[in-house]
Formats: sequence, C-alpha cells, structure tokens
Amino acid sequence: MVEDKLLIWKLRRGSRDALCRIYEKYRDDLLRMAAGLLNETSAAEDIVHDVFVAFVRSAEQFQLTGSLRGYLTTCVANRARNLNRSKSRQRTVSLDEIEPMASNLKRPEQWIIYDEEFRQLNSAMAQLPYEQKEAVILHIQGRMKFREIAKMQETSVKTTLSRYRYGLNKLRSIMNGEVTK
Amino acid sequence: MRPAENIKKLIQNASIKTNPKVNKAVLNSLFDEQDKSRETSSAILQPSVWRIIMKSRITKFAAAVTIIAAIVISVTVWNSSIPTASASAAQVLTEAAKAVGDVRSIHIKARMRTLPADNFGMIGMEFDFVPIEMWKKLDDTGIVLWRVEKPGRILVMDGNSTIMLIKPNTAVKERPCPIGSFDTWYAPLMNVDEIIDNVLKETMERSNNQLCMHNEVLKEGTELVLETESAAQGDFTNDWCKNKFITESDHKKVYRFDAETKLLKGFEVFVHTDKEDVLVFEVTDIEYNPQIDNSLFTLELPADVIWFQEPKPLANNEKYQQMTPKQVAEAFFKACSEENWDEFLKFWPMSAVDKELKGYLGGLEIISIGEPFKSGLYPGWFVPYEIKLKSGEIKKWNLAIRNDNPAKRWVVDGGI
Repeated sequence: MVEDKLLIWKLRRGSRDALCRIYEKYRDDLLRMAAGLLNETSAAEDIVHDVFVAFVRSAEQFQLTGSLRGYLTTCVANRARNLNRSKSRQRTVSLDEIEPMASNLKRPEQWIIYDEEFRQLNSAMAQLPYEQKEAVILHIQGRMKFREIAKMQETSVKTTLSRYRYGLNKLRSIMNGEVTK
Repeated sequence: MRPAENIKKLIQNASIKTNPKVNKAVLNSLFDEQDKSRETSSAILQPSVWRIIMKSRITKFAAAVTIIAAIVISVTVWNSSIPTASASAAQVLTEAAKAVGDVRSIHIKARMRTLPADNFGMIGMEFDFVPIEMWKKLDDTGIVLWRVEKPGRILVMDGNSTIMLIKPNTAVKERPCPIGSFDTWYAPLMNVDEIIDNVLKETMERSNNQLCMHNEVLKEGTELVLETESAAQGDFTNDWCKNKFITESDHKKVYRFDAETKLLKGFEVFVHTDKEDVLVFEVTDIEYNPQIDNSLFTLELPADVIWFQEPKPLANNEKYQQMTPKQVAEAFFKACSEENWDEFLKFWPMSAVDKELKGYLGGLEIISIGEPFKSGLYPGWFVPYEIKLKSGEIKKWNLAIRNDNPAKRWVVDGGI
C-alpha cells in the first residue's frame, strides 16, 4: 500500500519510473481479468490499455482513497460491462455486426499470450451469463468483496452471492465435461 | 469430478503471459501520454483516434517499439556492515554531497500535520496540514542567520541569540543555536550542502535504518532520489508517544535532488500506521539564493513577554527533588486548585504566570491522578490525570514532567 502511494506521488511529479512500475505490477492481472470478462482478446487488450491511458491522464488530479489494485480493477470491470452492454444492443440489431470472438487468437502482435489451461478456462467462462462471470472473476481474480461487486452490479449482496455460486457451479459442470441445461 | 474449491483455485491460479514487444510498445505510448498530460495539465479524456482508424491499436503500438530510458542506479545500503556493492553507492552519494553549489540564502515553504502553536516537531495523523516556512542567510560577516515559523510559533537566530516566541507572549532565549534546534527536525533541509551527508550518516548510525537510492528520469531532467526507512525509536510499552514525533514513528523520508546540481528539489515524510501510510510533511517550494532582508532575522517581542527560565535550586530543593512523579502531579494541581501561584512556579519554569493560564487552571478540582508511565524517547514521565476546571469542563490527559535540569527538580513540561 505504501509502495502504491509513493508510486502515485511520484507519478504526479512525472516520474517515468513510477509509471513503469505501476504498469508492470498490475498489467498482467488486469489483462487476465479483462480477457475473462470479455472473451475477446483485442477488446480486452484495448480496455486495459484505455484504463492505463486514462489513469496516466488523470494522474495529476488522482487521489488514492482505497487500494490502487481495487481502483484499476473497478475501471476495467466498468469498461468491460459497458462494452458488453453495447455488444448486447448490437446483437439485437444484427448478428453480423458482432466482432470476432476469442477464437481469433492468431494475430502476430497480440498482447496476451494464452496457454492451453487459460484457453480452456476462458472458453468455459464464455458460457456463463455475464453477471455470473463478473461475480466470479471480480471476486476470485480481482479480490473484490461481494459488497463491492453488488454495488457495481447495482444489486443486493445476496443476489451477487447467488450469481457467484451459480457461476462457480456451472463452471464446474462445464469443466467436468457435463452437459449444462 | 472437480470440486468447487478446485475450480476456484484454477481461476485464481490461471495466469497469462504477455508479448514483451507489445508490453514495451504500450508502455511507450503511456510515456507519451504522460508527457502530453504534463504539458497540458488537462485530465479531460480525449477520444482515441487510433481506435477509429484501427481495430486493435495494440498492433500499431507493437510496430513502434522504442528503447525506454531506464533506472540508472538502484542500490540498497544497509547500516551495520556496508557490503562492497553498496560501498559504490556510498561513494556516489559522497561525491554528490561535494557537488552542491554555492547557496548563500534559501527560503523553504512546507506543510506539516501538526497543531499551529504546539512543538515544532509535534505531528498527528489526524491533524490538518499547517504551513511551515524557513529562511536562512549567510550575512556579510559570514554569520548564518535563520528563522523557522509556524502559525503559533516563531524561532529566530539573529546571530547573537536564538529566541522562540510562542504566541502571544511566551518566549525562550538561548545562546546562538544550530539549525535544527528546538525540535525543528526539518530545518536542517536549509543546510543544502549537508543533506546527503547527513542522510548517509543517519543510515549508518542506526541498525534498522534503510536507504535506497535511484535516479528518476523525468521530462524536466533527471532526479537523484533517496528514500530512507526508519523504525520508531524509544520504549513503547505505553504507546502514548507513538506517532507524535517523527523519530517516534515508523516512517519513510523521500528526498529528491536535481541530478546535475545536487540541490534539493523536494522532500516528503510518510508515517506508516496500522491502517495506512500518512503523508505528514511535504516541502512545497524551495527558493535558492533569494534576497532576504536582515530584518526577517530579528524578533519583536510583546511588552508583557513571559520568559522561560531554567529551574534553579530552591532553598528547599531537596523536597522537590525527592518527589515521585505522581506526587509532582498532585502538588502541581493542588497549587492550581488553591491558586497558590508561588508554589505553582516551582513546577512551572517561567518568569511569571500568565493571566489567561491563571484563569484556566485556577480553582480546578482534582478528580484523579493515575499511575505514571514512560513512553517513546521522552526523558521524563507522563502522569495521567482527570480534573474539573472552574469552567465546568472535565479534562482527562497526561501531564508531562521531567527533571533533567541543573536543579534536578521536577518541572511540568507539557500536557496541560
């Protein structure tokens, strides 16, 4: 925590070193979460990049009230949800307008490099309803409390907990090769 | 069949790798953003042009990898035995210390979490920031004149004596004292040519101090950054003094120097508490070689000034010497209660008792006196007390008493 506060203090003074350290510290976790939430590599990469750009642009005014990890996680989650919503709207207009999904992983300069295990997990995640996936990823990978996720999802803690449990169960069924209904 | 716990672990441990080339390209794009936003100082988010042009701008960044200016030195110097690798860091610092140019006058503005009229060194995590100003000047005769000021206190060394005024009318006069006296631990920042040396010495002297040094490449130039970590000093069996003064707190000091001139550019102190790290001191402005009028180093005192007096032996000095800390607190408050100001002055090292103080303490009622305790680095004792003032206010606090004076008798040092 002290390290983050110092890093932000240095960042506000234009330190490249501080920016480099923040970026390296949180980059992989944010990418992993975004990839899980969106199941679309290029969109996940863009979102994480956008979050870092916005963070750098607002660095001089930035006041850290909680943890930097929590702040960046929330930023990624919010952007991912917005994108997901806009995609859902697109889907109702025309199925042809949907951008390529995570299967399109062979671009030469892709940022995220998947291994087989992660690919399998993401493929299973893709089958969950967005809210369930969000509850599972933000709690387990983003280390967010259910209260915080509930606030973000604009629902009760009970509902978020149910989404989390349903999500985990469904994921277990998928990963175990069971047919889900 | 994978149980739920295993799935949880699988999600938790799932890791990704990233393309180093793209990592570098994205970081470079962030550096560009950083430079731009520092130029415009605008935090308004602009739409990304690249997003419109390209489906994935990551591809574009990857094509434009450049080499990043990196940290030049990063060395940790540990106190006790300086390892060989760290000796070179010490050498770098020693050389840096020598390189500081000629500074004949300086004006530093800072802010600190403290109470406006309390001790210069006193801090409090819950206090608001209070402005601190410091001036130093080498006069034509080669004498160093200096002044440190916070809203309720002024400390001036005019070449002949050092005087501290506690507003409105209490003053202490001493022989010419060095910068940093009267608990102004931050005032030695004005000795710009000694800072690096002192940081190094402090680190070597204490076994639990740690010093880290590195260069930071900023747009406006490179900075030499020294970060020191110090553990709280003193006995905290009772933690009354913990985090009330810098030396009695676990803290980090961050010094920033211009890498070329080796002049101090910034300084901050963070206190580590159980909950968070609190910024307690921050230099906000430094002016090197400003014109400072000599009149700033003289102090006009009010006509009704009350002077601090070093306790002198009394006719019955032994009686006061032999009191226990608890008896001292009882006797002191009894004198207040009876408005016996002659007796009061035997515990109060001042030339007179201020009318306001008489009005505040006179006629008080002692509710209880607790068991004395020691805390932190304070050389005396703290005695818990509860009193009822004439105004009806109940006050519960700790009286600070000490006897490290030539008369060896107890005097009240604070806590009223």
